[in-house]
Amino acid sequence: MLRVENITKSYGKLVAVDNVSFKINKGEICILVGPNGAGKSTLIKSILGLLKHKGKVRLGSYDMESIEARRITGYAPETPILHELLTVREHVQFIASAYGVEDWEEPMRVLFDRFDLTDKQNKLCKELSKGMQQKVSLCCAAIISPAMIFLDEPMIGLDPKAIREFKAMLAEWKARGASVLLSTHIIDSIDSLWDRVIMISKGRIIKEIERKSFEDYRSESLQDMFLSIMEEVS
Amino acid sequence: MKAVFYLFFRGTRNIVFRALKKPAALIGYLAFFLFYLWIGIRLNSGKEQGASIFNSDIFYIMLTLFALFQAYACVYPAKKNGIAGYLMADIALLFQAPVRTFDILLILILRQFSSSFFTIAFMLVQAPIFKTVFGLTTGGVILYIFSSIVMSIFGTVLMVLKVFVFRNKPFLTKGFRLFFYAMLGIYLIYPVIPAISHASPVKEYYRVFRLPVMDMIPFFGWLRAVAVSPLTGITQSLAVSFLILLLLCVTGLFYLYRKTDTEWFEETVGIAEQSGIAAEMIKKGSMPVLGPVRRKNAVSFTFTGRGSAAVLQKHILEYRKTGFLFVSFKSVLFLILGAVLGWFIRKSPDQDLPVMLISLIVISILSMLFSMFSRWKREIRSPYLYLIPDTPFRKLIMITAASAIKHVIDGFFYYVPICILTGASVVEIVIGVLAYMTLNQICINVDILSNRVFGRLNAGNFRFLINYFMQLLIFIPAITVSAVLDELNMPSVLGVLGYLGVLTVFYITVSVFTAGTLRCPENFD
Repeated sequence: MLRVENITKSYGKLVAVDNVSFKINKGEICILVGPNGAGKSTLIKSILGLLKHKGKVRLGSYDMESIEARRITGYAPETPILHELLTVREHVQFIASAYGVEDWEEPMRVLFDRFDLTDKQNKLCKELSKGMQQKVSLCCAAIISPAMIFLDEPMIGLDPKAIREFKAMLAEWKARGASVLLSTHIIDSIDSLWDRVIMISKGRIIKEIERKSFEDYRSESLQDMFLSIMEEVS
Repeated sequence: MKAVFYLFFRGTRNIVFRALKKPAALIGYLAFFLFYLWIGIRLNSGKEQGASIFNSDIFYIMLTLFALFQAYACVYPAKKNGIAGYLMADIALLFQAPVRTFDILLILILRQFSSSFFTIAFMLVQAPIFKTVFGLTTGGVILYIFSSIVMSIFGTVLMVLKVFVFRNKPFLTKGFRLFFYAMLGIYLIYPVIPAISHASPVKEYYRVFRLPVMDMIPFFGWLRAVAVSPLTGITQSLAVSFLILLLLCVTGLFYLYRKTDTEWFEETVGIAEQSGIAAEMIKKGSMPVLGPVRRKNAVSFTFTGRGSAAVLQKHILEYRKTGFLFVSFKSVLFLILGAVLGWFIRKSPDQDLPVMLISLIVISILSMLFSMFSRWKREIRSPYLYLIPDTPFRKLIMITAASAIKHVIDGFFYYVPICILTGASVVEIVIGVLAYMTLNQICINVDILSNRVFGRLNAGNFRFLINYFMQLLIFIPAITVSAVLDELNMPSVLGVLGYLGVLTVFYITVSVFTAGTLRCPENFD
């Protein structure tokens, strides 16, 4: 589904992402883990075309920067940044309009129910708490029923119920064949969901693991494995 | 395109709804504007049309400088250039959407249209003042509104066009930059030629600079012809320049309509992020310095102050880390300003106004501009200030003390060159510096007070206007007392002392009220 080839992103002499290549198959949930400053957000932004980079990114048969690819791509940034002057409902409606989603009202109602946003839907986003804004950001990414979803630290600020709903949503996306690239620090919380893990440090991939090989050969948890690999690297 | 229009119209509609939901702020705005309008009408009554308080040349120079700035911002080419004016939310939501590049650009132009309507409203309110102060006719006011709209909308289109045309084209960028500098050179240097051999070179330079032929110089002349139209009226230059700019913008829009790439995102994201940071810094009272992060000095420091004195020590520590004691770029700016002002006063002494009064007027206006950048803003938003076991009055003194020290130092940088060049006495320097410091402390106190009274209304612009108005109400009587003492042929030192005296009375009065506000953080914005 997603094919990333030799992505390099530099800021002057600093190489933030160094020749990274990987692929995510249809219906896979890929977790991007790494210490702070490893280049996770930069990598996601580069893939999305928000940062200029070297290398190629293709989504299915489309170039990642084409309108066709954008039509099937959802994105929730690290910090929810919403239009202060639009209400929660208007945000979802705007996204539906921009992505050409026809029947958006029923899926929106379901999303609002899941994330306890129904009674907040007519509030301006400026008036919401950070956690609530994160929920709106996730709803915006979900409303378009994307085939590829990019989530940058999506669980930060979410309450336990919202985290549970978010995980259920991930499972649903996976079940309908959507692919997910998710960066997170909370490794334990997505232990049962991932299909592929990419560990990065200092802009480079230091380990790529598939679920099958992990289960066959490893007895430790993903978090323990991540910590021991990071110790080795440092 | 439908989504972009939706985003724009919903956002605009919600601004209106939000204003209606907070009638106090709306009534405040309207009351303030009506008051402003009333002052303008009162000043205008019985005055001949075209007569002005200030020389209209000042307005002409202001408009020319604006056109020059606009030409630089909109046309100067750079290899790496982003588009200014996007919000961070646009980056996260709009840039990722499957919409055409042109649609993403369209939102900027729509927003420019929207802000133009606010400009019209704001200018209509100011029209009587403009007529009085700068001697504009009714036609001039209409042209002022027209030119402001043209400059803002055409400016946006030209800026976007520039980014697309010159991005990643170093050869073209270099060539056009040369052309840009050549035009700027002709624009500024051509009037020098006749001025050199003239008996009154400055007057001759200004006369040639204003000639209609100068309006034919690409970009600088075209934009100036539009900008100064409130004073010149509908001229051939205006018509030609407007048509050229219109043609350029329409062609540019057609060119942009065909664009599909997304390579410009990165620089644009960078600008949007920096604008967000700058807005946040202003809110916290810091001067927004964008670009590379400045190196901080390593300082060894031990906190010894008790109670709110620790806040003052923290500010001193911050000043030491970011510069040499309290000397900053602003201090150097004041030194240069003082030297320039002193030189001008020496060269052409004003028979009506004494040196110290001129310098006080200039620095008072500067104080009002700089008063928004101060460390206290961050403090009143911090819960720690309210938890410190100390009296509100002492807290007020301590959170503003670092600013006071800074103003004393900046004041010396400003007054010393003036006094050296004009021969004013040391006593006048000291009183002038104290007056500058007191005025700044008043500005801070007024800002805290208005934040307390209007902070919850969430109407920042309104507060901004109220602040300036209140500061003017304090500054004008002080200047008046100083001018009256001068009229009575008192020694000039008494005039400055009178100015300081009035400010001190205001400072003590405002401080009593302001200290009372520092009991609870809840009501601050």
